[in-house]
Amino acid sequence: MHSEQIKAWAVSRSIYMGGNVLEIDPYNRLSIKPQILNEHMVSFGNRKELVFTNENLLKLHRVGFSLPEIGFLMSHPFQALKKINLLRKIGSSLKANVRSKAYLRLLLAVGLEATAVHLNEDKKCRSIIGSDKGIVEFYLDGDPLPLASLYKKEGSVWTVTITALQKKAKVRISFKSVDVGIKSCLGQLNPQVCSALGDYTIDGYLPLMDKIGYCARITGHDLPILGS
Amino acid sequence: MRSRSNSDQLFKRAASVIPGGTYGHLSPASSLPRHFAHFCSSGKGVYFHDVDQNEWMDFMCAYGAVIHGYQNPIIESAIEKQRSVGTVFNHPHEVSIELAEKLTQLVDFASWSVFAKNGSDLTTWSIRVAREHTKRTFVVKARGAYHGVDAWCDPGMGGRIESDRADILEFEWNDLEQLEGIFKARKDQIAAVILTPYHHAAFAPSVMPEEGFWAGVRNLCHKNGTILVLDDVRAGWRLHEKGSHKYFGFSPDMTVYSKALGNGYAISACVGIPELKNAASEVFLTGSCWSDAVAMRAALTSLEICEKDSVASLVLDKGKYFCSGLENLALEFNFKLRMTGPTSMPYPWFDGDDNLYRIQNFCQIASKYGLFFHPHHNWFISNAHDQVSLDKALALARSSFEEMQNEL
Ligand SMILES: Cc1ncc(COP(=O)(O)O)c(C=O)c1O
Repeated sequence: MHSEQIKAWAVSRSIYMGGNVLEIDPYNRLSIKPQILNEHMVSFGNRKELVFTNENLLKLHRVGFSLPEIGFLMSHPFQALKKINLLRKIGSSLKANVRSKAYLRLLLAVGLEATAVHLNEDKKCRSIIGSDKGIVEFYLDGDPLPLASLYKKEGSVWTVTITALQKKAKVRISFKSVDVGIKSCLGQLNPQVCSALGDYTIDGYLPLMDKIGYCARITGHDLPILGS
Repeated sequence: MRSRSNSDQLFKRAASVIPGGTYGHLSPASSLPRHFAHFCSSGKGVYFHDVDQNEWMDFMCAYGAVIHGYQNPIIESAIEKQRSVGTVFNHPHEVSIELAEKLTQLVDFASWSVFAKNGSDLTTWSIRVAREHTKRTFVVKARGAYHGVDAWCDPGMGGRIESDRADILEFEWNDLEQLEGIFKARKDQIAAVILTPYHHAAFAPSVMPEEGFWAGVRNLCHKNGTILVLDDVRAGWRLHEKGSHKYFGFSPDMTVYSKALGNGYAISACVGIPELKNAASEVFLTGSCWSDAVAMRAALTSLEICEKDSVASLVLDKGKYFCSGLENLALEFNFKLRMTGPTSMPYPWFDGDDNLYRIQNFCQIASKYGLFFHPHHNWFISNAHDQVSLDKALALARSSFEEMQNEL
């Protein structure tokens, strides 16, 4: 994938992940599962009613509004409008800016999804992460279950989940508070300083977290808000 | 948990004017940030104090930079004398010749020596000397080995461009076949092979050279006209009084030393064979304070003590006592701990603990007892460790194992 395509793909995957976290019902969620149509276009759902060019997806991410491809939209306008409403709902939830655990989870999962796309597709991130694999879990201090996890299994790609995995994590990061977690997702905190002062703790195989963290910051640089 | 309010306060102050607060290997993020102090206030012998007045028994020795203990009185008095006449001038001080003479007398293959401040200054310079001598480009290193902060080898990710490593090739430590393959693929193009005496990567158990490894490397370099550089920055003077190559029985073409060389005073040295002396004088080398006579006096005095007291043998023996004591204690509590690598700089590894949770837990508990055990880096024994301090450390380690077992 070329750089614009990676970013656009990260935006569409993140929106889809947002739907997942917001527990949009499975039928509707599936209806906006992104598909790469070609190197310039992404369709939300199989039926190609809602198609964006990469450029317009990036605009959607930047300004929160962007025109889909009209030709495709006209084939099933009602279905397309339903999907646009779903995207809107996810978009406004992302911008809600509330200090809640639910909002932290949304920001985290969406940012991790964009990071996962970079880990899988971006040349620099791929060279940094190399053949590393395993589970990285993100917690809120005191919670028994993770907010979200990023993982890679043998022979597979980096994937995000918000359901707890059964296997032991290779590394665990735990935010001291919702506030710290949100600021961290928004890229407003320095990881070394946070770790030193206990704003979050990291246990386990630190080198993996270092690499993921660096790639998340590359993602955040490419797509502010989606990475950290 | 020990008190840490001053540490945290200082760290906040630091973070506002220093990127990340503290950087590199001293960054709290790379160890146990909420269990170790962020700042030290003083050190003597095997103990140091942090800024909250906590006393720690040290097993890191300033990450290897201290071999005779903090503030060794003989070295301190030698440098006081030096300091009274000055340290950095418009010309080098005579002590630079004395130190070069000492090193070339100690290190059997060496006929010359140069000095800088850090290990990195000279690992980078040494591969340029090899390039100058061979008129070749490529450098081979072991995967995961640390040779310093420069772009061709640093372990960080930032500020890197593709060309930084275009001429650096890597092989797995101990895999002679792979190394031979590299030589075949890059026939007459390899300027240098740079290796540490044994493989001491962070976050992993240390790996000693297999039987025949060093002879094989030496032979391949010889056959291919490639310079063999030994990076003895970390292990130097802790394995053998005359350089770590003697411990493993081979002869490199250049060796770089730093860390223990100055017992805490900033100095590094590169020594080499006569055939490289011309190339060495062609590759530019200097630094603002590199002619620092105080650091050179510290190094000279440190080497004299190392030689007179056979310090390398002593720290190996002390380490052996400590490492086997610790392994046995672990077993008593049903933990399988291996102290890997040479006993004077052991890396602790719990079997099956690939994700490092167990060692982190152990070092966290040990920190409450004032033991400075690092979970991700090899430890260092100094000659200031003695029977009393090692026994005390073992007793405290026993309590730590006990507590860890109770937590299960
Ligand atoms: C094996 C090795 N080489 C080179 C270096 C770099 O030395 P310095 O940190 O003095 O630049 C180190 C430092 O830890 C080292 O352990």
